[in-house]
Amino acid sequence: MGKLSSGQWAEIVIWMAVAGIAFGFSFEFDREIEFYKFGASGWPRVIIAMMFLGAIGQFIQDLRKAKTNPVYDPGYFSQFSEHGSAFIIRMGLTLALPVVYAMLLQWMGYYFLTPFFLGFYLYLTGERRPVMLILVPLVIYGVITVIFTRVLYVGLPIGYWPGFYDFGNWAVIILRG
Amino acid sequence: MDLFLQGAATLVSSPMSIGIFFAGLIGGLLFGAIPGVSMLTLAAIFLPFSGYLSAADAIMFYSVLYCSGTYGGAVTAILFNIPGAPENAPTAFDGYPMTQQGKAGKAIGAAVICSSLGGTASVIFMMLATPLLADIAVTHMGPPEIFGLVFFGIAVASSVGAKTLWKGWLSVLLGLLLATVGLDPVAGEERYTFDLYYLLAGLHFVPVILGFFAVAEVLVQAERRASGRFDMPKFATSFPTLAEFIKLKWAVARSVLLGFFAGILPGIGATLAAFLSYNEAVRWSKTPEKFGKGELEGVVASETANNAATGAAMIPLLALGLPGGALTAMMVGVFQMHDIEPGPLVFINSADLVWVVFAAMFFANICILVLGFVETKTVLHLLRIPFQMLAPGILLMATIGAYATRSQVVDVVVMFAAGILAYFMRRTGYSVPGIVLGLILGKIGEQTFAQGMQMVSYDVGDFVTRPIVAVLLLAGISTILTSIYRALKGSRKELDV
Repeated sequence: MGKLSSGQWAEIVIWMAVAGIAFGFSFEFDREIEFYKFGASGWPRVIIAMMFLGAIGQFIQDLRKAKTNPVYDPGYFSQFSEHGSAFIIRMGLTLALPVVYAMLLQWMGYYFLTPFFLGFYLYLTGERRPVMLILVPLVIYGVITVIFTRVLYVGLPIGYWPGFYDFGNWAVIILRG
Repeated sequence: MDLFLQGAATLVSSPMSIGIFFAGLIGGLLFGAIPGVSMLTLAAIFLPFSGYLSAADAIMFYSVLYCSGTYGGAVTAILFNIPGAPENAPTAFDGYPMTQQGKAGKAIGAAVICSSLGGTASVIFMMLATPLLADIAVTHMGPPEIFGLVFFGIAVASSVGAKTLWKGWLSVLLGLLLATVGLDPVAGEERYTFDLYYLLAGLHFVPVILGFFAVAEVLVQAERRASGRFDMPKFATSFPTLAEFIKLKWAVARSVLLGFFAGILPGIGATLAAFLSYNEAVRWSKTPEKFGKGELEGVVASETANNAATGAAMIPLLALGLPGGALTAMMVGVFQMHDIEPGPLVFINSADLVWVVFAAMFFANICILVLGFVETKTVLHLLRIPFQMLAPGILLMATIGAYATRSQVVDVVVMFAAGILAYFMRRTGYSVPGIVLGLILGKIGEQTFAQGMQMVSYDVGDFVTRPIVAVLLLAGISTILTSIYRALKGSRKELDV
């Protein structure tokens, strides 16, 4: 009773950090505009002030709720530890893999990287059959790539790194005829 | 009536015109469903070819595309929580929970009927009232009034969708803060760009929306699968009954009016129409707590309004030459390619063209009803696909959608980062739709506030006592007070002011 979860502490810290950092950076564009009294920083600072108040309000509400509630609420993410380390690793990869894919896209190109991304993600979402792990990504990749590259002529990243760039170019030439 | 019949006769008399009509109709339905690509991609691809068509056929294509594309985005919003366009985002708030409850057919059926109803009503209003409404919109709705509308929209958005009122406000404020990234709308000062060229134009809302909805949903479902709590969406093809629609008649009527009047305003269009209508549905409902959990009225409000805005968006375009959004801006280009200047004279010099367009939009909305039902029965079968096979496909489509926006890989990174942020925010009780609305309305709000204050020489009294502004500000404030009252009455655990 009267105890906040680590998640609730993290929330107030994050909101304060966001507000504080945003306010700090607002001095970089805090210049007078001749024809506009409030300047470029007026509007963002009002938002930041309201954000600060909102975070304090939520924190006070959490504190009051914790004091009156006899049962300690550990927060949503506390259940993750109950599922074991395998679950946490799987969730971590589920969150991280798309970002890694996006960051490598520019260098390795869509045409080379995507089938591997799809295969790994299919594995992460629970598919275990080897045939499906190969076939499904290829089908999804093939159909979507043909539609967007050949039919809609949408330009997709072909990569910068040597080898990957050549592969991407070759794929585009093959698809567009 | 004679003019309408003449327009309809002209439309059906030429096989080419009929072909162009159906190309726009089906193209809009298909492209509208692809997030990030959307009907705007088809419109842009078609633009150079429109010069080879007659003026009437070219403009007719775009107007039909607008009607069907606006509906098209509702299907993926309902089935997969991936709005095809920003104006379909509110449809997902209740449409997707309905899918999870096995009521996808009902949600899509409602979207079909309401899109058709809203669009048809809008076209009829448009035919009757274009010159008068254009005059009112331009002479009485200046920047202060538009700011009032934005304030009202934000006030309502902050009171729904989050676990607590504070979290609702924080969600909207985060969206407003993200909207300040880029150049300020008054003097072009760089804000929060960190010397990155990419951020000069601000965060594009398409990758952010794709991240907040599509990517976040995949992450949430992946977590459920990993923890053994995943339930396949139930499959059912039941459609809404007549009795259900009769119960929602006032919601439909209100949404048509809201969508139509919001759609007239240049620059705001269908997106604000959909959000405002959804928010009003929540406000007027006797059971607002049911919204966001599979309430049919939420789908009805959003889809009626966004299609009602399509006809309205033609009014400033045809009567004044002012585009209401990206698609109508392309239509200005099409007019110019055919040596026609959109504006009041178009009703005198090219009346036949105008009435062909009106007739085409009317029939397009009727056809949405028929094609939509046919499409629904086939599209629902997508729900049978196991999630682990669907998830990579959704992520791939979202990736291409984000990249296709500006051909920048950074948009894809932003999309996935937004998806991860939205995943954590959803799990801790914040409102992702609130963030989206803050992001979309933030720039418009700041620009109109700045323009409005300059108009009244910074006299706040003068600003807030303009009649329409006063009404909208009071409506916004009353919304906030009502939500505080409801929270206090409903549960002291929810809000402790």
